[in-house]
Amino acid sequence: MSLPNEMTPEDCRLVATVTRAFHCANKIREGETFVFDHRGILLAGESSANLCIGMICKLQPVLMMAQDRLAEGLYPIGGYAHFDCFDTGIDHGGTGKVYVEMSLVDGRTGQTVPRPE
Amino acid sequence: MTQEIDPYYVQEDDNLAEMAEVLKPALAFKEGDIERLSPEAKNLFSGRRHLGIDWLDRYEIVLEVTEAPGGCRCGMKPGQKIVFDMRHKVKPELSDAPLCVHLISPVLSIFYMTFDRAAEGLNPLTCVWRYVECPITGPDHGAGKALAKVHIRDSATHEPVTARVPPGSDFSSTPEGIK
Repeated sequence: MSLPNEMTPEDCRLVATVTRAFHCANKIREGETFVFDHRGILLAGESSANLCIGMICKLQPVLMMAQDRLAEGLYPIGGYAHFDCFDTGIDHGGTGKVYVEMSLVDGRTGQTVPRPE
Repeated sequence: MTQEIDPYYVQEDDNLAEMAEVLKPALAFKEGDIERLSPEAKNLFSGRRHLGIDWLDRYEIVLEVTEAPGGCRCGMKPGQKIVFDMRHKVKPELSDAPLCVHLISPVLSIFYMTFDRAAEGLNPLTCVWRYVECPITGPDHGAGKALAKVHIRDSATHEPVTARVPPGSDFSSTPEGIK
């Protein structure tokens, strides 16, 4: 098991942190977060971004993958860690765009858990 | 290639003047950004023209769990609901179901349809795709899936909105009428 400090899946917080945002109608801004538990339940009280499902739904596959990786004893976030929302942006027929990066946080401490070497 | 656009829709040279002062701060648009929008993106905003400037605040979409046999580990129970505003944001203060990303995911398509239908002056909720289910199937062929139904309601009264053409719509004033 590669989770450090005796973390259990229940301790995992899968956090999507906004790395860039522009022309977002839901006013999502860089540095804000969407926080999920290991099952893919959105934790509204721990999230700081407006809870736009145009971004949240894009994360559903990686949250399924996190369950798979945890079941295999792996760090829950694999090679796919960067995602953007479903809006295609002002230069491609849409309006805005939000980008996030996934990370693992220990729910007991609030500390980011780095990917094992 | 330039294509003719039906007069009901936003034309190439229509820059949404009547709502520009609302859109600019809401979307952090700079001078010239509205002009850069595609006709399709302008149609997205034209729901304000066809259903009324406040239509996004007038309604809510409600996902109500109808069955939760227990296969799902997210803790869904029949009767629980997840409420969204019309900008497809979860309203956690009005929701009592676990905010499961797997059950929420199919709802995004319904929101795409709300913008499409608003641009047509119609009730924003699709008349077809109102049932959703957890996308995780399992070896029981989905027997344990959480199932849910979606409806649209007035955000102030919480009364369901069932009219095909809601009050405030300009749909009936179109020259062609219903096709």
